Amino acid sequence: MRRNLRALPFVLAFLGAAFAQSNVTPVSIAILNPNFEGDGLSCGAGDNCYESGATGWMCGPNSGVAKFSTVQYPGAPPDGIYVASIGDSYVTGSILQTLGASVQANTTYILTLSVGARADYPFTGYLAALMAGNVTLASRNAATPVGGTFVKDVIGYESGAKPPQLGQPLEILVKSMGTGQVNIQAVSLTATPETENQQ
Amino acid sequence: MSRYLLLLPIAVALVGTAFGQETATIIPIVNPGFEDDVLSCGAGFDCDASPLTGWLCGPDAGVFKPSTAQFPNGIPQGTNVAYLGRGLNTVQTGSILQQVGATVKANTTYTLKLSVGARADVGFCGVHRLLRGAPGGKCDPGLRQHPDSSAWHLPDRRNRVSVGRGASAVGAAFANSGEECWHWTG
Repeated sequence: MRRNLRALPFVLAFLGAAFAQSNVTPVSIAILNPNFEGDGLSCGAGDNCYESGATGWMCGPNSGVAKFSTVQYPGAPPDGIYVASIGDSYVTGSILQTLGASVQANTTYILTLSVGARADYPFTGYLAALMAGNVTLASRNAATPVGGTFVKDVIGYESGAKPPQLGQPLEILVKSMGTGQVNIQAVSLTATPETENQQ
Repeated sequence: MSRYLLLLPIAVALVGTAFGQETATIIPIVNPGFEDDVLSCGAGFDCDASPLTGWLCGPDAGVFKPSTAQFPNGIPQGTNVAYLGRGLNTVQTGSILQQVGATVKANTTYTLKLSVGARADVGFCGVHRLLRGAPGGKCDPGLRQHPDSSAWHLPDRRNRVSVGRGASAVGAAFANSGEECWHWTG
């Protein structure tokens, strides 16, 4: 799958601040079904190969798992690519997952996901958010993939010494905006504790 | 789409107040007004989709954009409501559930507020609301809730509300609005 990966300056600055001054290794936070391949679809890849809902994710309207072909993504493998398909021209949609990890103090969280725009369907925007206790910690909607491609989006959150949502379970929410569809792939989240000399 | 059981909690709010405090703390709820899901269709009988952002939906529950045919005097706020259940040709109950980030604290009064609506064009068979401290947790005994068709109803209550399925209001009636409130002390 060929993806247009454009790391934003914000991301580089954020990651640099998080890691340049220490050798702390980011800890990966487990996400259930992060690539949306947990639900096997027997249909042939294409625009009709879709089922509402996705294992591990609480889905909003007209949201679920799809297996798309090279018609939707020219760089897709021959047997198709699994994505979260969120929303359509009728209604906006969403996916939400509450994680096992909770907000810790003095920790930098990096949420990464690939945002896709189908070649055969309008893309009218999205919003990706890292939340805790139903409160948005950080969100972005900056990726603007052209039809048939994915763009990586990265969302950072520094909890600080006394985060208001300390101990609350982390949540990931992705919503479609407008009357188009957004596809999501490769969701990941890392946590990096700040070292003492960073504080 | 025909539904006879229509629960329309608008601006669901959950508030916790510790004894001795004058200011209540609002406990965040995802998509409390059901406006996160935007429907492009014109308001009316068929303008709905399921499920709902942020809510774990049981059978036949989702977002609905009603018109004045369903609520002649409108809805308390926004353009969307949550619908629960279905009627006419098929009877199907529905539900929505959300786990909030807060946990139960001692000596705290929790107040859950929501508006319950009965549409004018389909019968209403009652609603059952629970505030749960944990899966299988205990709730206070129930009270009956039965808004007139097309009305928004809601006196101040203490205790859980429970209405039998047989309670059904049909036909168009004048609409009023209000707010239901019930409290649970942990």
